Parts: sequence; structure tokens; C-alpha cells
Amino acid sequence: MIQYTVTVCTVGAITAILVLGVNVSWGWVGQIDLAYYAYVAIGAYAAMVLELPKAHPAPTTPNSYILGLHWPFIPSVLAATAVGGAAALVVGAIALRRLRGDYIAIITACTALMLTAVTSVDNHLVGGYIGIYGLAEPLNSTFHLGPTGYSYFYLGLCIFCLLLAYLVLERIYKSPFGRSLRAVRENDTAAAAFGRNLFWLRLRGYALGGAVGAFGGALFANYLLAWNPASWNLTEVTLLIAGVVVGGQANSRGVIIGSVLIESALPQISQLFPLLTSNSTIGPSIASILGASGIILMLRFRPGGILRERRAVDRTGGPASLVPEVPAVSFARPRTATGVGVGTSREVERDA
Amino acid sequence: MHDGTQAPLLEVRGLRKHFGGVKAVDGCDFEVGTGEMVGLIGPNGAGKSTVVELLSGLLKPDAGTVLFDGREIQGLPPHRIFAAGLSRCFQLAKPWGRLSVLENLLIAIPPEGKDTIWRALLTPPSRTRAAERASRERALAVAEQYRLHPLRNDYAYTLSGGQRRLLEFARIALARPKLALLDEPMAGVNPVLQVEIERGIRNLVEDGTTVLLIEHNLGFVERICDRVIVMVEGRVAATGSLAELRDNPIVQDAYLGVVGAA
Ligand SMILES: Nc1ncnc2c1ncn2[C@@H]1O[C@H](COP(=O)(O)OP(=O)(O)OP(=O)(O)O)[C@@H](O)[C@H]1O
Ligand SMILES: [Mg+2]
Repeated sequence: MIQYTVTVCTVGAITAILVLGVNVSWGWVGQIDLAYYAYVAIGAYAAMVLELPKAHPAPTTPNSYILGLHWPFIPSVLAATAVGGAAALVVGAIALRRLRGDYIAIITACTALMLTAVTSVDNHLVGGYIGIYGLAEPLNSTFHLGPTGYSYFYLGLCIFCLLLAYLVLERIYKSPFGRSLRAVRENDTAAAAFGRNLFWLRLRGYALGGAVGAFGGALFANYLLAWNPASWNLTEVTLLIAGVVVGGQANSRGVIIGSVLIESALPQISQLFPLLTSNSTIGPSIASILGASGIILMLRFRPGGILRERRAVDRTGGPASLVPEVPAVSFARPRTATGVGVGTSREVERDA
Repeated sequence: MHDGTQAPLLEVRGLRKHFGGVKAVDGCDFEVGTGEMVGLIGPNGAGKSTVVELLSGLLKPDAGTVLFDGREIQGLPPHRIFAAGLSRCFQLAKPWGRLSVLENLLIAIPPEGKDTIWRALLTPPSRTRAAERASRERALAVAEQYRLHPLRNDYAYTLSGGQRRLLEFARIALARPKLALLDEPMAGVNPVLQVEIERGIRNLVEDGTTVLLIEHNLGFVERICDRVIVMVEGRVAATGSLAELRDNPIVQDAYLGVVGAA
């Protein structure tokens, strides 16, 4: 049971990292990115071909793959992150040229399909349909932990990485870059008129999202110790986007909560249903129905998500002429529970 | 009017933009000298706002040249034109809705290359905040001047129509461009704050900004502008001081007569 909980938590932490990446492209930049899972897969494959030793042509190794550089864990994950970011930069350079949503959706979807085709058809690139496997547990050649100890260790590592990704992204969100990116999302015409290079800003945001996806993918592959084209598909991306919608677009904490609810809690609840009836397939169906209804209700009654987008505020209170020299801008959580467009914070405060 | 020895800050030649059959701007020529305060008037649909869109790069002209500060800027992307020192406000206010009013004001201050990912990662937040302190104080002072200070922490989408117009003007005041194109900055603003904006425009000019003002209130135009450009059906029909133009038959026909009758 404890082992099971550790598994759920590890996958949950990795999923939370993935949802943070979706939140950059969908929440900050405002582009639906159907290629997101391609960056996750690129990160996973990149980490594996960097970490694994060369494939032997002997019958003991059933698949083949390129590189086989036998790099250590940490440089491999960092390199995989960079590779994912670079791939997103290339795809984004094509997809973001025209700023129509349908154009972007088609290009990103095609990219994802192409990547699946390339990886699954060619057996010598990354092992075709069978994929790559046989990775040694990362860092365990140094620690020599037993299976249980190692699972705790990897859970800790994933939570550390989630925290790292969260802190890095929060810093970027609050920086002038993050602010410009959000301005582009809110009104690109006005952002351009105030000196923002729309294409370049969107492209950098998109590549950042891809890099976070690849980072999560690399961690995932190092957890599964194997990766194949079936490991990841469009459904997962849809669930991640749902996590962003439910949690609160552009709010990192919110989307982590959203992903935990949708991707970790809901499947667990669904497992209880077979206990209530004799029909064993009813659980997942009920979970899907509950999940979908939850999203629809959320969009209807709380379009901003669980936590609303945060904005920089000034806490000095008095008129500007009396502003003391203490730095005064901080990021505040929204004080009111209203969703976007439902009411104004001022009205609510006045009513309260 | 500029004295002719010095090249004008803005020189528009043969500017044209058609939307299907609508000749919104149809061979427009005019110039604005450095430091001038020029009014651009004309009936509804004369093409005034379209000229602003063309000059600021948000629309590409079909033909014509725009010389700004000695450079041809027609067809350049809007962010390059802003960087060259030309900024504009919108007739229909365009705030960044899910950002606070304060953030809206901060974005209007030219970033000077500070908005990169690397800078965000490598400078500690305390340093970023210290570096932004000057910008923030300017933003808050301008917010105070245009009665936006109490609203500084609100999402911009909660602002009323008039408050949005104030925010539009406040952004220009913070951008401090060489040339400001103001597209009806007073429309929908209450009389007390109109006086405030009038003072704001005068302050802009005193600080060395050249202003091209689109405005339907001729009394105000007469008070504040050195001269006016009258646009009718996509072309410049006349230029000069408003006092001179009042007697001009073309202008009376096309514009002043209509306004006078209204
Ligand atoms: N994007 C567009 N597509 C089609 N027609 C347009 C477009 N923008 C402007 N027009 C047309 O061009 C003409 C000029 O419009 P413009 O907005 O420049 O007028 P204006 O002088 O600013 O008028 P107002 O004083 O009412 O603001 C109008 O006939 C308008 O219908
Ligand atoms: Mg107009």
C-alpha cells in the first residue's frame, strides 16, 4: 500500500512538472500547443540515448538506438531539457509565424504525429515500436539503495525537481519578460504598439514550455527506465490542458492543484467504484464522466479556475507622492474569488 | 509651423490604404515639425484613425512613404516604430485586462532589452525590484496624476470606459515618445479630468514630445494646437490655424458647417 502511494506520488510530481510546462504555453503565451507531448517524448528519448551505453548487436539486447553515450544522470537530464527547448524553438518558428489559432493547432498537431511516426517506424533510431529500455536506476550506482529505499529516493528527487521548476517559473513569471508575455496574451496589438516583438516573445515563451516538458519527460523516462511511442499521446496532453483550466490559467500553484485533482486524485477515486458494483469497467467510465462534468461546471461557474492569475500590486497605500523608498511591488494572490469577467474585485470588496 | 530650415520630424507622402472599395486613406500628404502641437480633424470616417494605424505600423500602407526622424518607417513592424520613438493611444482603449493597472503602466515604460529569460533567471528578485523602483515610482506618480492611483492594484478589465481612456493617456505619458499620436484622448472623460489631460498634453510638449492630436472638440483644438490638418475622405483638405480655416469654404462644407449645424 505504501509502495503504491509512493508510485502515485512520484507520477503525480512528474505530471505536475508537465502541467507547469503546458501552463507556460497555454497559460502565459495563450497558445494551444498540441505538440506538447512531442517535447515530453523528445526529452525522454534524449535522456535515454544519452544515458544508456552503446547497444550491443548481441541477441541479449533486443532493440537498437542511436548515440549510447553513457552520460551520467544529471548532465543527461539538463541536455534533454535543452534539446526539448531547441525542438520547440524550431517548431514554434514555423507555427507562430502566423498568429491564427487554427494554424498553430494544425502545425503543432502535425509535428506530434510526425514524431510518433518517425520514432515508431525506424528501428535503429530509438528502437521503433518496442522503444528503448534497460536503463539503470539513475544515481543508484552511487547510493546502492534497495528497491524500497530507491523508490523513496526517486520520489524525493521528483519533488525536488518540481519545486525547482516551480521556483524558476515563478521568477520568470514575475520578471519583465513574464509581464511582457502576459501583455502579449491579453492584447497583442497594444503590446506591439508599446514596443513588444510579438513573434520573438511568443517564440521564447513557447520554447520555455517545450523545455519544461522535456525536463519532465526526462524524469519520467528515468522513472520508468523505458520509453516507447505508446508511453504518451494526445489524451495526456488534453488532460494536462484540463488541469490548467481547472487549476487556474497562468497560476502555477493553481495548475499544480488542477493536475493533482484530475490526473492523480480522480483515477484513485475511480478505483473505488468497482468495489460498489460487480461491473469492473464502470470505474474508469465514471471517473471520465466525473472529470468531464467537473471541467464543464468549472468553466461555467468559475472560468478563472481554482486560483486566479496573480498580478503585481503596490502595497504602500498612500498617494504616490508619499511612497517610501522601500520596494513596494509584490505578487498578491487574488483577494476575491470571482472568475474573470464575472465581477470586479472592487465591487466585491465594496460589498464585503 | 516649423521654420523649413530644419527637416520635419514626420513627413507623410502619398499615403494610401483601401479596404476593398473603401478609400480610407487616399493619397494623404502632411508634415509635422519637431516640437509642434498639431491637430488632425475631420468628419467621422475621414480616415484619421487609419492614418494613426498606418503610422504606428499596425496596418501596412498600400502606397506612400513615411519619413520619421530622418528614416523611412512605412512597413516596419510596430515594435520597431515604437523603438524609433513614435507611440500612439487607441481610440478604443486597449488595456491588458488580466494585468493590474500598475503593471499596465509599467509595460508602457520602454523595456530597453530588459525583458529576457536570462535576465529573469540570473538577476535575483531583489535586484530586479531595486532596478524597477524608479520605473515604479514614475508609474505611481502618473497614476496619481490621472486619478488611477486608488485603482492601481485592480485588474485592468475592471476599469470603466472613462478610466480606460485615462489609462491610455497615462501609458503615453510614461512612454515619453518623440512623437505621440493621440486618437481622441478625451472622449468619454469627465470635464474635470479633461482639464487634467489637457495639462498632460501640454506637459508632454514641454518635455519635448511632438504631438499629433485627433479631436472633435474644436474649442479645445483651438486652445491647444499650433495648427490643424483637416482630413476629408482620406485626403488632407487644408492645413493652417483653425482661425484661418474657419473661413475656408472646403472646410466649411466638409466639416465645420456640419459641426456648426449639429
Ligand atoms: N479595418 C477596416 N476594414 C474596413 N474598413 C475600415 C477599416 N478601418 C477603417 N475602415 C473604414 O475606413 C474609413 C475611415 O475610418 P477611420 O476609422 O480612419 O475614420 P476616422 O476619421 O477615425 O473617424 P472617427 O472620427 O469616427 O473616429 C471608414 O469608412 C471606415 O469604415
Ligand atoms: Mg477615429
